[in-house]
Amino acid sequence: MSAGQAVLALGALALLLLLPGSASAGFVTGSGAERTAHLFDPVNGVNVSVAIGETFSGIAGGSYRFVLHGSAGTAERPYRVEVVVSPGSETEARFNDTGDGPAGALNTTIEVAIRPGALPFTLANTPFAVELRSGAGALLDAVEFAVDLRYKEPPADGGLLNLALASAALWALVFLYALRLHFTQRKLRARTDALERSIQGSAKEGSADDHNP
Amino acid sequence: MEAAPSAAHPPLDFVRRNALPFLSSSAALTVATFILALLWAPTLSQGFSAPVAQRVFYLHFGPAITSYAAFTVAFAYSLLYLRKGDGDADLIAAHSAALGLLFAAMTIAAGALWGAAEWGVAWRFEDARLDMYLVLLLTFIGYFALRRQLGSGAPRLAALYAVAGYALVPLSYFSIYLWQSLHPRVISPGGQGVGAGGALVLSVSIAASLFLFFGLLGLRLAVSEVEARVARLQREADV
Repeated sequence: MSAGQAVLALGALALLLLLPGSASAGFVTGSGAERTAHLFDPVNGVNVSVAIGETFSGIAGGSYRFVLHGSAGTAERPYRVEVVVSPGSETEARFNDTGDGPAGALNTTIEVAIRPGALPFTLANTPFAVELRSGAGALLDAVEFAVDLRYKEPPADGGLLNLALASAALWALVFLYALRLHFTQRKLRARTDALERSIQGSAKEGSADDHNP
Repeated sequence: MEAAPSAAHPPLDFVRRNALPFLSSSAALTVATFILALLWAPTLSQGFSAPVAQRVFYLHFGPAITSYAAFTVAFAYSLLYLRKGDGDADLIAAHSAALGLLFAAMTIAAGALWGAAEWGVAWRFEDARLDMYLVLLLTFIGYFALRRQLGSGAPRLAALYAVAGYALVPLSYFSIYLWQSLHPRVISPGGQGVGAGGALVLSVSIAASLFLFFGLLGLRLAVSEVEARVARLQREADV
């Protein structure tokens, strides 16, 4: 790398560091049913947590409960929280609700409900986002994640019978293969015996011919 | 495969002579695994949206561990072949690799059943563990393509290929730690664990799979041995 290139690379790095980054400071912790998204309004000292399971049943519907945690200096303000499905796409769907934030170091909650049948899809890895907005609608923080959407009635036994039958068929095939190997071996042994008898018979006939003048 | 395994490999000789006891034990343990896994094992609801489907884990883990074991045997005997040029070692490596593929296919099938219930899709290409395991499977399919393509000149190159390809086994195992993975960590460090009941079912499942592997390996070696004997006798009879 020449000195000029090095200076250019350092300059680009400095620009990246100095330019204001995305306003989003939100992040996700945990996994599976324990997954939680965290959003922040640093100006008012509010942090928000919301449980975001990895799956969402379109049949049953559901709700996202945003818990707003205040701090000592937090002033009571209205907030709007939103759940965005497929953000930025043509099929984007938004669900939201508004409520007052905490005054001081208290907690308040705002619940966003998604009615049954509002998301009639079965689609893995669907982009989702949760957003924290001011009462006037200005975006304060957001975090994106993925959710598996379901729109199928689960069987009464949770699918246990289907799983058992499919698994049993799989293992049965392997044992049938073992049986086939066993019979192949027996068939080959029978052939070996026949060949040995044939060779011995030929040898005896040969020696008998040698003794007969 | 014309070569016949000689008695120069005592552990494998034991396996060859006791193929049927291994298979019978495996059949009994497999039935026990099914009953315990589907009806008795604790349901791990934490972190699973389809807790019932999670019971397939007990039928998935045994074949997965056994596939790694089979590829390890293939690796060890490929090394032995490279060092000593022992034809029996090459034969054992080939049979083990073939059974490794069989158990890998069982693992993937059981995993796909679970994935369809838990994720709504049977396979997720964005998952490091799934992809790495698929690459491992394809690599050992390549091992047989190589043997078939090269004919009699194949064993040495195939052995080298198997030794190199074996690097994917630890890579596949540790992929859930090395990269972001959707594959559940149940018994791994940081996982929720399966408890004493689950551990018992897992042990039975692993024993069923390993016994099945040894039974099948023994039968395949026995068939190879008899095939070679038939070929030899046929030549004698023709003379």
